[in-house]
Amino acid sequence: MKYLVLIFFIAFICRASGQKAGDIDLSHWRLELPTGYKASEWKLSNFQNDRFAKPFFYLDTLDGALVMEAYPAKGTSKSKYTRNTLREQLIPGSSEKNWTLEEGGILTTELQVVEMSKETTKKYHRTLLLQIHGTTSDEQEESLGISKSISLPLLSVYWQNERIRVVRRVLKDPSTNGDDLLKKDSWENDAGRYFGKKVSFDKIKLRVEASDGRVEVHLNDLKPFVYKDTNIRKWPFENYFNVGNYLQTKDYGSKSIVKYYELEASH
Amino acid sequence: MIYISFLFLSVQLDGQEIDLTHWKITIPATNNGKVISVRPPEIKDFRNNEVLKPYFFEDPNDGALVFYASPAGSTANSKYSRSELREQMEPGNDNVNWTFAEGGLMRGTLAVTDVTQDEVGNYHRVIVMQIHGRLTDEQRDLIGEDDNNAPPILKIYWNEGKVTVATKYLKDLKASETEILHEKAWGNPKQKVFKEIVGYGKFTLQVKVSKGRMEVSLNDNETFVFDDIHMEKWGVFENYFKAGNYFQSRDKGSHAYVKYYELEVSH
Repeated sequence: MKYLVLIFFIAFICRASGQKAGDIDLSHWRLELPTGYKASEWKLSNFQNDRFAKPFFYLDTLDGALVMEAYPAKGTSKSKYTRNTLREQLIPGSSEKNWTLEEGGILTTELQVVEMSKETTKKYHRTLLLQIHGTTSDEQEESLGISKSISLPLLSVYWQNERIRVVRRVLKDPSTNGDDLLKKDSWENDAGRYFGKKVSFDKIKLRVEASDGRVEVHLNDLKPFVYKDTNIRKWPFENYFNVGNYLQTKDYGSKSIVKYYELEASH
Repeated sequence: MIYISFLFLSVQLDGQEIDLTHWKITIPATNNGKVISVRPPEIKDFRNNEVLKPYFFEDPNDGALVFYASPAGSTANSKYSRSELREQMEPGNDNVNWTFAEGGLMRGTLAVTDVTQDEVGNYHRVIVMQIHGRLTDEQRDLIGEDDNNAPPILKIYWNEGKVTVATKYLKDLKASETEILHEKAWGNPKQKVFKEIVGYGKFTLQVKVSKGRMEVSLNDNETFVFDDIHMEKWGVFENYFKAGNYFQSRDKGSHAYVKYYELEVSH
């Protein structure tokens, strides 16, 4: 009898938690899978019963982690590589509202790369874990007279060579101003920086903090990377977080699995 | 017994709520290669029409009008299938329609209750309401068309649990009164997306048209207003309302159900 009550209690908790995946609330995220499958709040709230999501996106029943698998799949995806990503949506189901650096944002994750295929016998493939992604606002699009938004990442965090690597966009010419800042080709990737310590297949904590003129990347308790120069101050775009397992290849036989134990965006 | 009769009465009343005097139904079934339409007054006897029944029927539980569509037949000027009502200001006659200056109001309470997913799991889209343009016979002859078809100025979609609104814009604002009668003179601007998630639940749409102006509201809460030069230019056309299920898929085995609980038009 006691067990029966317990089962009902658990069933009740599961029901009440709605679109919660284990400890992760997915209501402010839009999922895109390697097949081109897309799901935001309404559809994503039912992902555990959706046979189209299951091969790539599911809960680990033992540890409650959200598992994101990436491997090349047939379908309608227009992505360059094998995409399994969550895109932040300030308004559930809508990508129209995003945040400025001034408004700021904090992304807190605990994750683990549990499987990664190899490019050569020695070298692993790499996957993109997190991003701050910039995009033009309606007003900017109107003033530029464009109908399609301009979109580029401010910051990308990769699992690469068993380490965490951070790449960000910098101005080709630091004196660029005005509408020219909104041009994609005014910006280029920097050389990137690795956190010293190998993380390999360990569970790690990654946190990104964005605020007016300042972006920090924290890995575990290591000394964070802090960016607070002209490039950040001049970043003209509105932003959203991307999280997941965007495997940077479409090679036959390539595969990566990333588990998320914690995922939270706050503003 | 009293209870049972009361139930019966209320179901009957519910079913009577949608007045079909001014509507013609088109279903995806064909007769000699042509899709089947039933006009008023015959449509009023739809409950006893065996041909309509699979596609257009009354839900015995809640009295709603159910529209079912799956790829089979399609109408001229269309590659998709529909179970859809077409307004007839004068019952039985397609030739009496209205201009924006004459105005019109359509209000409906509906639910999209079941839609199939495509091969990667994305939901097929459904158009649930439209304002369709129509060439007068003079306009048709003037531009040498063989039928009276003109583009729709409004399409309201159910798309992954959200409601989106598509309109038209005149590509060349300097085009002459004759040139703008051609379908290719009009382009598709970016669709507007209502914030509210409707999912498979009930929602109310209202479309209000007057000279140079079109308003579309969801649940009397969010409203998009279109009152720019393009709406003014649209004044050249006559129009009619459409409501139901214009199913945007040709995938084998795909289908959608749309239920209307209320539907009213006034001029």
